[in-house]
Amino acid sequence: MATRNIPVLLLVCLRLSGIALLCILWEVLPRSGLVNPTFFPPLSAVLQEIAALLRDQHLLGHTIATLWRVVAGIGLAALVAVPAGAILGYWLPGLAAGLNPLFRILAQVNPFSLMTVFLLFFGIGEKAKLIIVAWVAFWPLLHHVIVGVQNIDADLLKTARSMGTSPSRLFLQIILPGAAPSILLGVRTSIILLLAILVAGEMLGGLAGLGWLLHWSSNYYSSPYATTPIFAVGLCISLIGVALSAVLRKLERDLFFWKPLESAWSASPAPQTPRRRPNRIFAVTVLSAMLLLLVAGGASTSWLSKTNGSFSGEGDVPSPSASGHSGHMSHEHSLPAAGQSGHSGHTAPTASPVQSGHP
Amino acid sequence: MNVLTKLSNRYAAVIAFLVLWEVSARFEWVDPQFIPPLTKVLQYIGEQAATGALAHHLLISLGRAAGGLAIALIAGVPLGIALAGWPYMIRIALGPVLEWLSHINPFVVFHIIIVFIGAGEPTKVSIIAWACIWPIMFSTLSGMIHADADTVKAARSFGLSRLRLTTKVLLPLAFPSILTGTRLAAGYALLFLIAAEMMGSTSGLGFMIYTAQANYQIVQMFSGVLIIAVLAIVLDGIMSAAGKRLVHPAIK
Repeated sequence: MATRNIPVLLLVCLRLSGIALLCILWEVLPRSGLVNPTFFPPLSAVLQEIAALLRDQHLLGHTIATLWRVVAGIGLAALVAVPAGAILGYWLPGLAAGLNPLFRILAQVNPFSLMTVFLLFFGIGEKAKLIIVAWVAFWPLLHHVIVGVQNIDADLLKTARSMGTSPSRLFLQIILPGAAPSILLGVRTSIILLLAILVAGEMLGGLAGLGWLLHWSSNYYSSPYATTPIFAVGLCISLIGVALSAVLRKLERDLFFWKPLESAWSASPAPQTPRRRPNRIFAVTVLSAMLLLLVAGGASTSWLSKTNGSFSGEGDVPSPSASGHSGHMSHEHSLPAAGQSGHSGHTAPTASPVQSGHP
Repeated sequence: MNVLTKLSNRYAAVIAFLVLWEVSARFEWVDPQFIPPLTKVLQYIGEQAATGALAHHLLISLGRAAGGLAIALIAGVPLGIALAGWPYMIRIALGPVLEWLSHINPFVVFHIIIVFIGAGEPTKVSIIAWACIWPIMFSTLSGMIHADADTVKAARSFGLSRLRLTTKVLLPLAFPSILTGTRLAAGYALLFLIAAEMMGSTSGLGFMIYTAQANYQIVQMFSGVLIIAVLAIVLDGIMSAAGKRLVHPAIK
C-alpha cells in the first residue's frame, strides 16, 4: 500500500465530510419520520437542549466537575505511579517481575465493587470518588511507567551511572524524560476508560458532574422529544472524550517529536513532516489550563456538590412545593407537561446526597 | 510437583498478598469490619455455593458478558475487515466519525436503549456489546492494515482472490492484534457488566454486590470482588492460552 499524497485541504474536507454527513443524517432521519423522533431526537433539538442545560442546569459546572475529577484522579495516580514505576522498573526489576501477576490481578479488581470500601475508608463525597478514579488510572499507568523505564537506552543509563550521577538526578534527568512518552501513552489509554468509569460512578452515587446530570436527565423527559436531555448530556460526554484524546495526541506529537506518528486510519506511515524540536507552547497552555481547572474547578465542584447540583441551591432543581408534578417550569421550551407527572426528577435539593440509580 | 513450584514461584507475590490480607485482618491491623479476613470471605463463598445462589448469579452474569462479547466479536471483526478493505478516502472520512462514536459512553447508550426497548436482558447485553465492539474493531483494522507488506505482496503475486487473501493471509496476520483487542474487550465486558447490573437489575454478580453494599454486608461484598477478580484472571488466562495455541507459528 503505497504512500498517497493528498493535499491538506482535501484531507481536512474528507475528515470533516464524515462528521457532516452524520450530522445531516441525525437531523434528517428523525424529521422525516424514518426514526421515531420521540426516542431519537434530531440534532437541532439536542443542540437546543444543550443550550437550555447550559442556561438552566449549570451544564458548564457539571462539565468542569467531571473534567476536574479526571485531571485530579490522573494526577493523583501519576503522583504515585511514576516514582513507584521508576523505582520498580530501574532499581528493583526483580521485584517488578515478581509483582507483575499481583498487579494484573489488582488491575482487574472492579472499582464499582470496591465502592463501599472506598466509601468506608474515605467517606462519602469527593475523596472517595477521586480515589476510585485514581485506582482505575493507577494500574495501566504503573504498567506503562515500568515498561517505559525498562525500555530506556541501557547505554545511556550506564554512562550516566559511570559519571556518578546521583539517584535523584538520574531519576529527574534521565529516567523521567526517557519514560515520558510511555507515561503519556499510559495516560492516553487510561483516560478514556477513566471517563466511562467516572460517569458511571457519578450516576451511582453522584453529587455533581455529567454522570449526575445524565442520571438526572434520564428521569426527566423534556418535550417535545422524550430523550433529548439524555442525548444532550451524552453528546457532551462524548465530546469531552474526543477533546481529551485529541489534546493528548497533540501533546504526544508536539513533545515527542522523534517518535513516528502512527494511525489506525492510514495504511502508510503518516507523512513525515519535518519536526525538529518540541513545540512546547501547546504543552504549557495545557498545563496552565490544568492548573486552573484544579484550583477553580475544584472549588466550583465542591460548591456544586454541596448544593446537590445547583449553584444557588434553589430554582433550577424543581422543588415539589414550587412546581408540583409538572416539574420543569424553568425550561422555557417545555410544552404542556401532560403525561410527565411521573418524572419530576430530583425534586428535593436537600435530600440524601447519594442518589442511587437502583429502583 | 514441578508445575506446582513453577506456579508458586510465579504467583509468590499474589500468595504473599493473600496471606497479608488474612493476617492483617486476623490481628486487626486493619478494621476487620471494613476488610474481613480472607478465610471468612472464602467460607461465605463456600456457603453460598452450597445453596446454589452463587451459581445462579454467576451463570447469569457470565451469560450476559459472553453474549455481549460475542455480539461485539460477530459485528466488530467483520466491520474492521470491511474498513480495512475500503478505499483510503472513505477511511479518512470515517475515521473521525468512528472515533466520536467510540467515545460515546456505554451508559448513555444504556439510557437510550432503555427508552427504546425497556430495561431487560437485551439492554444489559447491548451495553457490554457497545463497550466491547470498539477495541475489537480498531484492533482488527489496525492488524489488517499493519500486516507485513511483503507477505501481502507475495500472496498477491500468487494471484489470490480478495476473499482468499483476506481469510488466508490477512486474518491470520491480524490475529494477534485481534486477540489483544478481544482481551481488552473482555476486561471491559466484566467492568461494564458489573456497573450495569448495579444500576438496574435483580440478578447477577453486580446485583449481589450492590445489595451487599446497600446492606453493609462487607463479607458478601468482598466475596463478589474476589469472584470477579478470579473470573477476570481466568478469562485472561484463557485468552492468552488461546493466543499461544491459535496464532500461526510463522508469525509468532
